Amino acid sequence: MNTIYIIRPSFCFPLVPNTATILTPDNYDEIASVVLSCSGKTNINAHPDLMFDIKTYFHFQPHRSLTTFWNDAIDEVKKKKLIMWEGNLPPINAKHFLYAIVRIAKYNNALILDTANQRVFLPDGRILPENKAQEWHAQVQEMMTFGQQQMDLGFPQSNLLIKKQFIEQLSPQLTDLGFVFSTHEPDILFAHPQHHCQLKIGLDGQCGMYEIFADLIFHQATEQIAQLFNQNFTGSELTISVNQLLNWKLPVDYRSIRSFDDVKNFVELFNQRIIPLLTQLG
Amino acid sequence: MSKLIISIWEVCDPKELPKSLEMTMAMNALLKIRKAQITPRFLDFANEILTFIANNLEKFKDDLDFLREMSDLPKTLSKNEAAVLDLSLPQKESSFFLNEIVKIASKYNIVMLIQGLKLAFLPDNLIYPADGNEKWQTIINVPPPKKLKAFKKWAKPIITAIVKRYGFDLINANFAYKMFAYNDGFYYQKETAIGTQLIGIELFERYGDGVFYLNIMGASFAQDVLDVYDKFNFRPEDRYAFFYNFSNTRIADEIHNQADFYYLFTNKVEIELIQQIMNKVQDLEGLQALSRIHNFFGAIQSLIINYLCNTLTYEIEQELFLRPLLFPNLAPEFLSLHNYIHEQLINTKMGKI
Repeated sequence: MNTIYIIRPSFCFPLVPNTATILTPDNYDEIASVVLSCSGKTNINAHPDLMFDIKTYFHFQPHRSLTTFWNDAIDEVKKKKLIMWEGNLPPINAKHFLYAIVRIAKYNNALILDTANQRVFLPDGRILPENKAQEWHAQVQEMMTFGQQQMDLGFPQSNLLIKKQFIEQLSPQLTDLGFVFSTHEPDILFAHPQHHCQLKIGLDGQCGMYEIFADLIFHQATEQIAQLFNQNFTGSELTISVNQLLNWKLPVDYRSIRSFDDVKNFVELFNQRIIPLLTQLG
Repeated sequence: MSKLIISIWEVCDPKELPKSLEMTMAMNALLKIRKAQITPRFLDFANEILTFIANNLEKFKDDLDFLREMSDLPKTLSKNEAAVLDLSLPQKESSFFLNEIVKIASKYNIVMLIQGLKLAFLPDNLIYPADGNEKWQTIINVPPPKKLKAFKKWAKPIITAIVKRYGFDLINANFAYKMFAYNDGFYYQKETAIGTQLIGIELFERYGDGVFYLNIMGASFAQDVLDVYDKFNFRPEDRYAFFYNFSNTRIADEIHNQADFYYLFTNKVEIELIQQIMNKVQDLEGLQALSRIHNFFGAIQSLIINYLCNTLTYEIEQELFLRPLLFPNLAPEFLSLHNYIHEQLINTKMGKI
């Protein structure tokens, strides 16, 4: 698990005598040892502005699981007046998320210690040690190049457009089976009036970087329906993760959609594995 | 003590006298890094300044930093470290001080440069630049207005003359962009090919103590940007292509006299706002180029400008979504704008195919 630590240097390093300049060491090991010693420390002046900026970011890049996760983090830091936030990067799109946090931390004059990768991002833009800086810039460049290539290919860059893409691609098969498209706000919803069944597809994100998760919800499930989908029958309400049915072994029930290939894979798998099961519902 | 510095050096051979303000500034830069022996004539000049200060202590008594610097003058000179002597102007009575030392210097082969005011004084009452004498008469050689109203009355024609050089005309406060109005400011307008540019200046006083401050704003309006902006429910007060705002009451930005005002005004308005910003944003491409380097361009405006200029890249979008200037309550409209732009781009692409 990739843990990061976010802290303002003013909370952990001394000032250069008679100046307002903070004496931040210029090597990773020294910074890491000081920063790690701040774990759990509190300060009456600690204010989670940076966390609020991250929260603002999620207004524009909504990812529901991450938003909940960060809201909890903000609450904790705020309640305890912690000078440092420590937590894990998300299991998917971690690099993209770190890129955003690094930018936000820079605006907020905070540093980020990434112990798993043994690097530190300083608020003045430097990354220590230097070889890690080159590595990081190359990763960001790669991320940008890939994103630009997709954009040039016409891959949807807004959330509404990616939803439109999925609706268009899934509608024909589902309509044939009697499903009716209901809404795309906030989630795409196809409903089957006779089977009391809904297919709910959540698509989060913006700017060509999305996360998809889908559930099949039966409101009047039977043992046969549960068996058909290889689920335990626990009652008339049955929610089945489509992502799991598609055999995506991820630590979270989300899947990254960043290209036409990802869309194609989802739709193909959906047609191969889900449509036949839905057909058997009669 | 004022933030304005007067640089003084002696020229032994009249042939070495600079021929223009630019040469004077270049000479100052060169001499500053050179060590030089102070001549007895220069010491006489310095002593005359000290005598003048001693005879007029009453006038400078409230400016302890200035008096301390003056009392250290013999020690500074004895170090013989550089060929140029830098003195700070007094905070109050700077006109009186300058008038007197210019008179004293005229008896010696002394060059004096106030870089912050772009004024140089040479022997034989020569002043650079060509209009330096006029500047001298309007900024230095006038009694300092003590009240804000009088200071404004003195400043207005100077502001008007400077911005006029760049095509900005004085307009009355009853202009169209109400949201940019100060309580009591001066406004200047210029029409460009893409829309109106507006500059607002307000002089204000915080404590009634004769210390004044400047509020400055600059806005550029572009019809093409507004046409897209107005399709969405954004705040009416943000209907601009960019908005620049300067409002500081730091000690460094205090205005104690006309020289302070002129220095702050030329730096912030003439150089920073007009030359470096407004002159460069007279078309959409100029706006686009500037939006990449200045964060006073909001994410909404930057997104529209880059779309109109066909320069929207993946990286720019990533950056705009991270701009700290965005307010959370604007998120739904911002996302609608983003979606609209991409729909338009797809339509354009399909139209081309």
